[in-house]
Amino acid sequence: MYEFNSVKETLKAQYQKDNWTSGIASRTLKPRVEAILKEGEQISVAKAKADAIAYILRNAQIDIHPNEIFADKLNHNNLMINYLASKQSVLKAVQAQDFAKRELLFSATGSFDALMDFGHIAPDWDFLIQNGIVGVINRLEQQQIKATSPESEAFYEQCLTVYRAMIDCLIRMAEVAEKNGTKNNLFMAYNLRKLAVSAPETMAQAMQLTLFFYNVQMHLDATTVRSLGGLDHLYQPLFQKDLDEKRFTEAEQREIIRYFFWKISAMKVIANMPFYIGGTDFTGEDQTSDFTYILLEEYLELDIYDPKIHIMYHNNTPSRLIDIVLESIRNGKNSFVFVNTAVAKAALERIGIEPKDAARLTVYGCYEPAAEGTEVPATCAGRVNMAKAVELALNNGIDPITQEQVGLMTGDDFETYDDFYQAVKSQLAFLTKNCMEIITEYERHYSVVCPSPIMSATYECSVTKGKDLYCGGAKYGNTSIVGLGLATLVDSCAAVKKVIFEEKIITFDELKKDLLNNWQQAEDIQLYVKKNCDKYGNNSSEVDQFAVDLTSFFSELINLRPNGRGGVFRCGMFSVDWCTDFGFATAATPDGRNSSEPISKNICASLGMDKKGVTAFLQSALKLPSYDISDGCVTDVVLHHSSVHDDDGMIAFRGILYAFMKNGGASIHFNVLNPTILREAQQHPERYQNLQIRLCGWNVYFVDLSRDEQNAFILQAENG
Amino acid sequence: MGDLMQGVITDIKRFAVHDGDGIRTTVFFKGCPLSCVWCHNPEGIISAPQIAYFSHKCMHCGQCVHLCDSNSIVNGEHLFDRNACTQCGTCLTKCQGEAFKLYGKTVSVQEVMQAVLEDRLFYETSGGGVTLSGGECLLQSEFCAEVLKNLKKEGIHTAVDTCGFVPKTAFEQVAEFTDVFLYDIKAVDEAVHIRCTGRSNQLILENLKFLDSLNKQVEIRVPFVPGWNDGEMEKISLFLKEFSCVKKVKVLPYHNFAKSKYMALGMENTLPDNQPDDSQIKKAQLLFKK
Repeated sequence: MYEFNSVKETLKAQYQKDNWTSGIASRTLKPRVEAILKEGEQISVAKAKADAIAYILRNAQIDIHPNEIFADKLNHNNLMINYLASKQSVLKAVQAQDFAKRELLFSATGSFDALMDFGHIAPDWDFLIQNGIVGVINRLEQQQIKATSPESEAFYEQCLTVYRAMIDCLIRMAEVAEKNGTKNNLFMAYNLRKLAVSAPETMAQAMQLTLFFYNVQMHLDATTVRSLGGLDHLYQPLFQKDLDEKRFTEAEQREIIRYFFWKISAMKVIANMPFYIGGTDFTGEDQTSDFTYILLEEYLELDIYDPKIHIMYHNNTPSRLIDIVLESIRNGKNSFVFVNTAVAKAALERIGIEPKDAARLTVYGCYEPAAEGTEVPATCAGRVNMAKAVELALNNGIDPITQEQVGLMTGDDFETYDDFYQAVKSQLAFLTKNCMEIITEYERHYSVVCPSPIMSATYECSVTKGKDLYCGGAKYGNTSIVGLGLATLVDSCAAVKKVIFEEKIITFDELKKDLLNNWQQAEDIQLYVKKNCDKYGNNSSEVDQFAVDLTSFFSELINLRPNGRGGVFRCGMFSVDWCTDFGFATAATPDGRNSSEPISKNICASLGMDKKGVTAFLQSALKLPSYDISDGCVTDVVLHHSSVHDDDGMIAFRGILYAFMKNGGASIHFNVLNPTILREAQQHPERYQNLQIRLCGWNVYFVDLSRDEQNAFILQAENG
Repeated sequence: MGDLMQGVITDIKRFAVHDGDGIRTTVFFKGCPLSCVWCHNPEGIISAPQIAYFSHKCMHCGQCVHLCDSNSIVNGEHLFDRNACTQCGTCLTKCQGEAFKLYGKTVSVQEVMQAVLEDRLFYETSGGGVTLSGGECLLQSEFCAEVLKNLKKEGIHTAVDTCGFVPKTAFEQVAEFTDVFLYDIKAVDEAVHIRCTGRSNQLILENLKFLDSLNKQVEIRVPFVPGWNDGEMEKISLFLKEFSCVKKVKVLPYHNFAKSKYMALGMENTLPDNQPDDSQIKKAQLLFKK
């Protein structure tokens, strides 16, 4: 191999400029694939898809960079992703027309999104890495003999069609690499030819399989892979074998790891590529190894933020691992999330996943736990704007921006706060149930939308049953509904209680008018509400109780309700960046938020409202019923560099993490502040009321500093 | 008796990470016998309550103007007449920009306990606890002793951050309930100490000897202020050698970030301009490691 650093920069170019060789040009490929799809559909969508995938694998152009050691680029021209999109459109226009119309209304008013989530999934990496593509084929052939129905026979045949073509594709790629003839490409070709006949025998081959499979599943199955699995335990046996058999030295292995991470970083996938490290094995023992640290060291050395890493935390996670990660975070690397394995597994068991299956815990996407190899969690299928429930309760079910009747008619006049609160809950239930109903209807038609032969064939449950993973093959074919805007909802309820029912500062009609006018001419009331009403995130008992009650209510509406694929719905509480989109469609809210501003993020306090600092905020978050939120809920913590920069700070940093985990927190993401955020705080002090600057035993709030002092501090942070 | 006792504090800060080991909650008491030129907590110097007005947070809403004679808006600018202020604190509840802050709240032992126990779970996972600081907390030693006693009953680690310029009896009252003293030594040379703080250091050095005789755990804190006490470092390190109670010495680099507080409190800003650079601090730290 070439020394990594000598070719590093040239490798970025492979995803910026294509250099297709071999195979059929995309302009010719497209009509041929379309003809295959048309012909295949006369039998089934599944057959059409399998035949089309096989054709692409055998004929699409290949691009192999001469300095690369891993092959993955195939000129698929997004044909299969577009095919999925067309099938979804047909479903909405024909089979589920009425439901799609309903979805449109709810979506346009920012009430909820009800989607077909074919992403947030991964192949069964354990099976794949241990057995290879050849192993998948062998298992399919063994089951094919036992097939008991024409449907299962067809399933096996379609999977085999695809997988046999994958072997051919590996060989085609090897041929291109051999023709290029560079040292790196010859290493690649050797690995590709090995993978065409056996399971991975080296760590490099496992990595090659991962990258090849990722690309094929993503673009041909069109099921978006959102985790590379637990890379330390997946590759460790092969890493060790390589060393024991003296195939590679540790230094050479580290070079290969650099090539691997660098390639993922260069791919620039949407929302970063996740993988996890740490966690426990089947017996509950810690599975961190020396290899975990080697992976981590090389990742950190490259100074990249993609892939992003989930740390599977448990009671015996080595402090060495925690310290390395915290050290990285406090130096500005924020690409880590700690996931509490005990909470995640218990939450999965509560939605009916057997303990042995929950023990194979993985995390998809940003922070969504799932049972690897048995569950399809569809972690982002439904997204309910919880804050909308307040808006609809205030307006008798009418969306104030569009004037559409999207909610229930819960009335205009509430004698007591309890009456109002019940109306909020009714609206929340109405939105959530509608969201689940629409998704359920969509899911009934999945067989004609997205058969997934590539992914399904890696799942034992699917292969044993002879059914596609999305159509009865999964042991747990579940669907997730996430709630967003919790703090906006809760703070709004608390504000209504205080200013209307307790202090009687304004009437319902006046509040509605002020909200419709986006608080114009009512700035004094808006400020009063922001300043004087209790807010979630400050360990305040009453308002936190609203948060607990509304989260429990929401999760009960969802958890274990049957979906349209023979599984159940599961609850999540996170927003990613959808809080901006949903906020845009949400009018001003009683908590003092302006129209179109983002609603609250994840399970965080509303922006700038956690005035009592990180410990109070975490205690509010810890009250939420995380065991009923199997789809995950992440706590974002912002710390200033000065709080954690020295030895004392490191102890405190660890203390926060341990306190959170020991008290049942689900997952936590730390963000140590940088000068950019300080500048933002200078511009918008109202959003950063709790930002504490701590130096050598004295404390001050950043917003209390004069501008000159703030500037001096920003300069320090820049230099720090 | 403890039920009736009251203390005067400026603030209770959570997630304090530099006031002793681990994550701590620090209670800042009001009133201090010293007048250090570099004081970064000027709100803790005098014992009486003070209203601070942070002009850059004022939104000119005019809510405070009708409350008393101390606030007016002239040509769009808010004027705060400190002499007319009675420290009633009404403006705090009305001000929309939160520009006013009252330093000097009277609290009961129970109120302090309720506030500091909130973060208990973080003390347990970080080896932290509660620190009494100031101002000079031991000017209210009886109240402090009651708080500390209650904390020990709860099994919480306690620290007292003190300048040492208090009667020996104050230490006698709290020593039993204090796990560690964070003890300031600013100068060994008496003349330098008087120049820096306005007071002799004899009582401070005597009290340290007393803590040594009690075999209490002490962490020494030495502020490093260029032009004021930077020539004292070697002398302090030599002086400390005879104390077996001293487990740790920390050099605290001086920063002049407290100007806005002086301004908000209407106090004369005595803060020196010069801040130490890293090499000065490292050099001083080395002295104390010997």
